[in-house]
Amino acid sequence: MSPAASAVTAAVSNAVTNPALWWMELGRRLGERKSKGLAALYLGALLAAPKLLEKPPPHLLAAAQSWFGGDDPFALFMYVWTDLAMNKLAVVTGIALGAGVLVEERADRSLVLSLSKPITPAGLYALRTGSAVAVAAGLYLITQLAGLGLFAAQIDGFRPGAFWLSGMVHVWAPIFATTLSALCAVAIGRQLGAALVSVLVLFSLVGGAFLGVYNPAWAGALAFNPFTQAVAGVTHLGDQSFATLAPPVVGLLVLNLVLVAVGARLARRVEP
Amino acid sequence: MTPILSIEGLSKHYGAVVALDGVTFSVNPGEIFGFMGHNGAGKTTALRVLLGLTPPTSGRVTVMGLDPTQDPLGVRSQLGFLPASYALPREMTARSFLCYVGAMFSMPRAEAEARAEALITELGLSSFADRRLGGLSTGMAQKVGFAQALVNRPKLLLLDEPTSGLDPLGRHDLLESLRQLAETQGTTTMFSSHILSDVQTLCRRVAILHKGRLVAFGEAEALKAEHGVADMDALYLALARRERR
Repeated sequence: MSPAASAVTAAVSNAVTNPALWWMELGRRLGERKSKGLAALYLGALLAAPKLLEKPPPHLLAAAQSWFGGDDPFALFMYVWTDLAMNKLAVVTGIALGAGVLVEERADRSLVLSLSKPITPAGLYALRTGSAVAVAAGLYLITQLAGLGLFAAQIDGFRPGAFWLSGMVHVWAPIFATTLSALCAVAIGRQLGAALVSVLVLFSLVGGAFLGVYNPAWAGALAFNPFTQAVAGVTHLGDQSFATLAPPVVGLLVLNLVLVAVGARLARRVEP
Repeated sequence: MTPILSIEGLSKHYGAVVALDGVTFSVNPGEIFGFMGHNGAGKTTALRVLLGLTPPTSGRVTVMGLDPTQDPLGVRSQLGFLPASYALPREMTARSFLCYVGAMFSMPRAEAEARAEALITELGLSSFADRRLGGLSTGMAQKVGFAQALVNRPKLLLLDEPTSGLDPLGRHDLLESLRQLAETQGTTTMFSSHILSDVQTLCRRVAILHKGRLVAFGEAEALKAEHGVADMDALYLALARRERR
């Protein structure tokens, strides 16, 4: 192979495997207004969650005691934090970051510049979805880390280890919301349509995340719900272990990889 | 001389719409080649086929010895492209965007930063290199657009309406940059435009499209003499009127 041909092959095969491109893409994502807006929402959740628990409605208290057993205030906090705050934020994050992958760039006419470079639509999809996932997971984990320090002083019976472990499982909720929204973007071809379908699907799944807790008879049938798997850290608060938390994490990892692969395949038909 | 770019019998249909109809011409290495036609004549479609962004309906295209339908990434890694209609990422600065483009050509960070710095200096972008792209004027944004087409030191530049929206000084600077690239680095440019005075200033050979068909191809001076006209405007009008009959 001639030096020129070698250079071409190298450029072609290395474009998406170039670590510098991933770092710059992450910087580009972080600089976007929607990333900054999402950071503000996560900060709001951190500040609001303890306030929600100052005077919990008696019916909610009674329900939580019935669902999670006993009168552990930490269990109620984890339910409020995970379901009322972070589950909803996961959906908003996913739609904000994922529903515009490639289609938003096509609409604003920046896609043609990207695709005139040695990168395939599938590669660009992986790059843009990857950076969206990194920002979604990063925002979640930073919030969880900040919560460790903040909630210890504010929540009775706060258990830092259990809080962090449940977050390590639930971080897959915003990741799933992002990869699903990105898939909707290339499948539907329009940002608004992708966002609407994502809202419908994701909020339906979030609404059913704890159904197996409310009614244990449904638990087996509802196990397919990724959000049910993502709240395993909370529903297994009393017995958090490798055996209880690893299977949902592995399942969610595989599901997200499949969604990205399908999205990348659909992205091949995207023309600028 | 082996052409750097050749198009043979290129047709592109979008349903019933014929965007290109049996177009044939070639571009030689090192020349600034004028690619002319009115809005909607098929220039942008032809450029997209050359980049491998859209497949031809029929015909054969070769760019630097490669077939863009078979090896689009190989073609794109060696050429620079400035579209007629595009947007730059609003939140990035010119400097970070040029680095990003360098990374898309597999440059390590240090090399991408050095290349961005060199382009900022060469093209006079220093005064706004660290401003957000969303806040740049049309002329400044077009300079950044031109710079991104040069990041990989391309052998071939495909420029689609590059002077549209530029003031006279900006136009002069861009045309001068193209001349210098051709003279000092032997860069070939395919200059697509409907601003015929720019083509006349810059290009010795031209191809003229009208409604997707090639209506003239060759030396601009010879074409003008053949049609008994003095400038490119008159040549284009003469050809368009002939096609209308």
